[in-house]
Amino acid sequence: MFFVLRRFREEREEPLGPDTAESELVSRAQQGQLEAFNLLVDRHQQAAYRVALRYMRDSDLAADVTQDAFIRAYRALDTFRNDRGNGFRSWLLRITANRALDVLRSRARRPAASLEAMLGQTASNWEPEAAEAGPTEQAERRALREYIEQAIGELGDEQRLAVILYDIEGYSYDEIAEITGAAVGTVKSRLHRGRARLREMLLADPGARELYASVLRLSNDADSG
Amino acid sequence: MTNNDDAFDRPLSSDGAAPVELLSAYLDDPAALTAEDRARVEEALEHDAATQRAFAELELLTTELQALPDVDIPGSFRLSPSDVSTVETSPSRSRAQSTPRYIEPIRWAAAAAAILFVIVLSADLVSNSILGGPDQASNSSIESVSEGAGEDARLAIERATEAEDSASSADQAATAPQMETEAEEADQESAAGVATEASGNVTPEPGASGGVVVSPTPEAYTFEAPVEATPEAALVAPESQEAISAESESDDGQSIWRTIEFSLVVLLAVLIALIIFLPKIHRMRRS
Repeated sequence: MFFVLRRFREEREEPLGPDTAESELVSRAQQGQLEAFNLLVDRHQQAAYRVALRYMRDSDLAADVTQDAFIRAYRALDTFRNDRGNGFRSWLLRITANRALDVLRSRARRPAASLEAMLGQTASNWEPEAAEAGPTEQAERRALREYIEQAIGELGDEQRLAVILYDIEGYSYDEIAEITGAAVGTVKSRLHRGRARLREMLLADPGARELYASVLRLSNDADSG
Repeated sequence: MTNNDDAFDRPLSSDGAAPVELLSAYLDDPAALTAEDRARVEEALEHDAATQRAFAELELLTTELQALPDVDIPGSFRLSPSDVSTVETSPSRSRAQSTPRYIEPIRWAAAAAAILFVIVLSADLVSNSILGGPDQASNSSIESVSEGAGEDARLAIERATEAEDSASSADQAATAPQMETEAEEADQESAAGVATEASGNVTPEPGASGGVVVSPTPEAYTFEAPVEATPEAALVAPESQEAISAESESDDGQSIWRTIEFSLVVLLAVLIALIIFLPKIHRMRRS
């Protein structure tokens, strides 16, 4: 009887598609519809993988962690309260960040060796500089970003996550608070301390400090020009 | 931003530069700072070169962070049915992921216990009420026992009285010749003893033996009829013993039924409690 009713209800439901509302997808995924969950995966896999990669700085580990996060999310779907707008993304990123942190702690080391590999993989995705930026400025900015990426890897876990989520991924304070489970004030504090620490690290490295000053000078010239 | 952060409470440095954390907060949203902090930062930005430089460096840093290259995902992270089947015991169950796997056998055990309980209870009721089973039998036997016991007690008392009488008669019958003999012997002894004094004049008194007979020894009285003379003896009369054995059998049957039913109820309660609370404990431990 139950199965007949369930089949009848499923037949009456709207077909799933990329335009289906997220709350509807979550609801159907909670009912066990794998296709609904996979549409959620399609929507958020980029964000989850990006956070994992920025956090871990190892593409293979990041892929493993992302896949694991989706499986864990599927297993824990019934614990998710489907009553907020961006709730699912925050919840998923929380699982991803926690999983990434667990893996990093279990490896008991900071992954810095594969930065070049990561950058090599994504070299084609470097955004073109402004049309007015010359080749020298483009090269210097690119080199400075490599230093910044390295410095991010040296930050503490909480500050790193705050910087990644706010400055790189563009999440709001409230969303980061939801993802990290911390208060908004704590998120702000971590972010500002993280930025201050990044600046200190860049200025402490002679090569980075020179690039920092050069790019800053070029930016000021461009602004004043 | 309301600055409860320690870093923001630091005073301006000797050269008047603002803390970098405060500059970072000002960079995000000046209006979020308290009026006092905002005034401090703006004052430092206007007059202090180090603060101006630090602010410019932070601005460049956030710009470069936002401009970090996007990354492509190495492939789709969609879950396949095989991925799902490795994590859940029953793909058709939407909430099976969150329940421990050992819940399933407990559910089956609870269902079996419930069915068994219904069967046992039905059998008990049918055997008792429709077929006149152990309950009815025991009730009737209890009534017959109580009725029979009274009757038996009365009969037993009568029988005891008769036995007492017959015992008395038997005693009398048994002791009379003995007493007569003893009397004769005593007479002979006394006759021998007093023969010199009054030989042939002394004759045994006929009432001597009768006086002995009417007062039987207490031992003879209590020895002959101690069991049947008491009212309790009625309960061990043959008819009563049958009734009691029937009652005890029916009691045994009843107690077995009750024991089985009680055990099933306890088992069912334990299984239901496990089904309710184990997933919650499981979720709490996972969270």
